[in-house]
Amino acid sequence: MSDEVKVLARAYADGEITESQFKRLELILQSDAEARQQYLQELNLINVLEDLSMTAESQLLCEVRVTNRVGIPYNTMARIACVAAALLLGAFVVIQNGGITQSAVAAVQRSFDATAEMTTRKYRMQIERRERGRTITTNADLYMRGTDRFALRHPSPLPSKSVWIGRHDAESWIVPPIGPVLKGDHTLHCRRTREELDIPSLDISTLLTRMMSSGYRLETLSDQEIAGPDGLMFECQHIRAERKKADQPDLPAAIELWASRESGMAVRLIASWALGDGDTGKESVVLSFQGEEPDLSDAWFTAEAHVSQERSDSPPHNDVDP
Amino acid sequence: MPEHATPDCYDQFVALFARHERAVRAVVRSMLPSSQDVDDVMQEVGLACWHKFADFRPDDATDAFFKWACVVGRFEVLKYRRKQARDRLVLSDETIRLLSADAKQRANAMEHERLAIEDCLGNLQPADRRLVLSIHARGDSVARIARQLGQSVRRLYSRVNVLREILGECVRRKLAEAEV
Repeated sequence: MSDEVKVLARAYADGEITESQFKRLELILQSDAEARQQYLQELNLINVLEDLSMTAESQLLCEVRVTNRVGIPYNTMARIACVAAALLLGAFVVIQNGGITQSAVAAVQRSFDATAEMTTRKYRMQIERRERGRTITTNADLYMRGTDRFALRHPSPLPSKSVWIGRHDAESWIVPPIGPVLKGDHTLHCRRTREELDIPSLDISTLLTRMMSSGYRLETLSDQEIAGPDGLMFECQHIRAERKKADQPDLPAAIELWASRESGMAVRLIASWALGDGDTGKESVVLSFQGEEPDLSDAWFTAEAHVSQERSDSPPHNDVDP
Repeated sequence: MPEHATPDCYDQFVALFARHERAVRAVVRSMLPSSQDVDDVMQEVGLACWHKFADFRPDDATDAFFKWACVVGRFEVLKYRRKQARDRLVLSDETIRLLSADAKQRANAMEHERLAIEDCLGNLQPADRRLVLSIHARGDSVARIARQLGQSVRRLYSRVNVLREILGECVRRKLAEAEV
């Protein structure tokens, strides 16, 4: 293969190409059929590596074999789900370990206890990512019950269909709108998330150990009223944790928690990352409480609930046999 | 919903799209400068294919849907390109037309290359495999990973290109062996 085509193809695919190189690439591609074949071969190599980086590696790590992948970036969504669930639990521990004021620590502890209750709560999740200089917003619904159950509904590229990602006790799962259901242990969702973001998994002991080394500066801010579902207003304690060290860009730069004065429940939680100029990646994750779902059965947190219902958007309730 | 949106039709569509999506994505990737761009375009390709599915005329060829979807993909790339017109990295309409025409003929080759790449990746040292996959993860950049590893961007980029070279050479060898 011509070295020039290879160099130009890589520079193009990496977004590192210069203007003169780009002109040269266009000229070659328009005039040389053999060069086009070489270019397509090199781009295919990069495309496969990009694809494997998001799928095959994770599947290998999780010992999950998939023979009929459909190409929707499930792992990206799973990572988002994991980040959200981990934030709901992990943020409190981040704050706890960086705690300075006793009242703030007590508030965070109370909120953590409320989150760990076996009550099903629904949150709206908004993720903002910066890609190539623009911000992309994704919205999803997150259901959580205690520390070991969550289900996240994320829009899929197929019309009117969702991807479901969840965890029920030790089993993590992904239900795509088509194709096979993926199941595995917690690494199915979280391994890459932990590696890349250093946000702990739902395993509390791992989370505690990991977060013990993290340093956040805690600040208690003025109470605020936060609007909940159906216009309900929550009187909230507002706590902000700011990362002490600047050299850990993968950790959130700041985490803010609004916890109900009455119950301790997390009403809103915002994690934000400090991206440098030209950086890509997560800018913020916002979780907003939408309401309790007392009628949702335990089956809601299993993959089977979403497979059997043809990935419908209606949750099964306790009066429906799982 | 389109008029053809019957359950049977939908099942047929998702089966075809699932089978060929990966190959179509590879073709679209050759026309765009980043995998994030490809993610955006592929969502539009999926929707456009569905909305135009009534126009699809299957023939006996097993790659009929792939070729049809490539045409849809090419037009979605052109639409996307117009939106990104200020970006100097967008290929011209003529280059996209030529690449699309060539890529449509490479469906089998791409699949063989993919299998070879997976094999060759398994031959790399674990640390090298992790590095090469990290660099290609969507949304990651060489600069960010270089910062994490405490290395210079130039040095890391050189290392990644050496690994790509090793992989490329391994793939070519495997494909040549398969031909023999």
